[in-house]
Amino acid sequence: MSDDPRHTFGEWGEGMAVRRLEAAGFEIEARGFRCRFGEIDIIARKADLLVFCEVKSRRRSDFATPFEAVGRTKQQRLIKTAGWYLSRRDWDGEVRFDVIAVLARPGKRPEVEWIEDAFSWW
Amino acid sequence: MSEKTLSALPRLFDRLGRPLVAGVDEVGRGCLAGPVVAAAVVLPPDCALSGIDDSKKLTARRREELFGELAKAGATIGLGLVSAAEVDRINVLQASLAAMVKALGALRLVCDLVVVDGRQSLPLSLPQYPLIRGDSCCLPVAAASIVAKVVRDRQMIYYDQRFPGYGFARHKGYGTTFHRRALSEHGPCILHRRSFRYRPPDK
Repeated sequence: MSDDPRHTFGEWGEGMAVRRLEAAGFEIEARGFRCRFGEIDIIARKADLLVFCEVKSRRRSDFATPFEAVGRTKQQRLIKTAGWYLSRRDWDGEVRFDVIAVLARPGKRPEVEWIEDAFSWW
Repeated sequence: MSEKTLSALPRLFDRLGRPLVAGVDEVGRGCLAGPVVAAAVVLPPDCALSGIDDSKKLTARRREELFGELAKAGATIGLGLVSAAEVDRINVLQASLAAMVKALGALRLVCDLVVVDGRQSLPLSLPQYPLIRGDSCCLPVAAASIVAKVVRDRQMIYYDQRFPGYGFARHKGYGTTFHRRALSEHGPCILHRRSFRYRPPDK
């Protein structure tokens, strides 16, 4: 499976996102957290804030924007997974859902767009 | 599903700025007879009730017990009902949405968030969140599924006295073999949804 270029590309994108988070003072609590409800790419913590991050890696910007790629079904799964995670971890602080979009541009540095509090569906 | 899992989402919504969460569920959509009943439940913060789960996973007795405990524990409950005749007029999907909207109105509370079981979105201006299988992963939705089921079951048991012979007390209007056989023999009563088709019982 790690021979599939799509998977290694995604791993690369996640690596970029991790670096961005750490540079902003976040501690990475979990990566690729899986449960029956779904999967969360990165769970990061800073002071009393816990952030659940979905990482979207893209090669060309003319596809759907990475933000649009986190549709309703995916959001639901992220929320349920976060709920499951929190039911097993004692956390009293703030919680947030972020989307980190990594756009690969050949010959140029990748562009990392970090959307905080991405789920404003209500 | 453990209590911790069921209360995880309401706590998550609380952290996301939506502390007053109403769970909504309906029952009786697939029945051949009887109303669609919906319930909306707002649980008090740090509700200490144990055993709340998706009503389908509980025995009837357990549901009745929890129903009583819910009221005692300070839950705010709203009920909405849409009759079989109305189901025939508007379709059953519209009927279940209408029942849920009525249930929320009956709450007489302005909620920060409405969590609805399933894929539906209600014609309401309140912030809402549809949650597939919400009755097994969100506490107020599970509570609502219990309330709706208990209320409807009690109604169908009562109707069994007014319209005996169909077996309402046992199957609550669902299309069991017994029910379909009784339907073929006696024809429908006013509780039956004439717009519904049912598989004829094998002789």
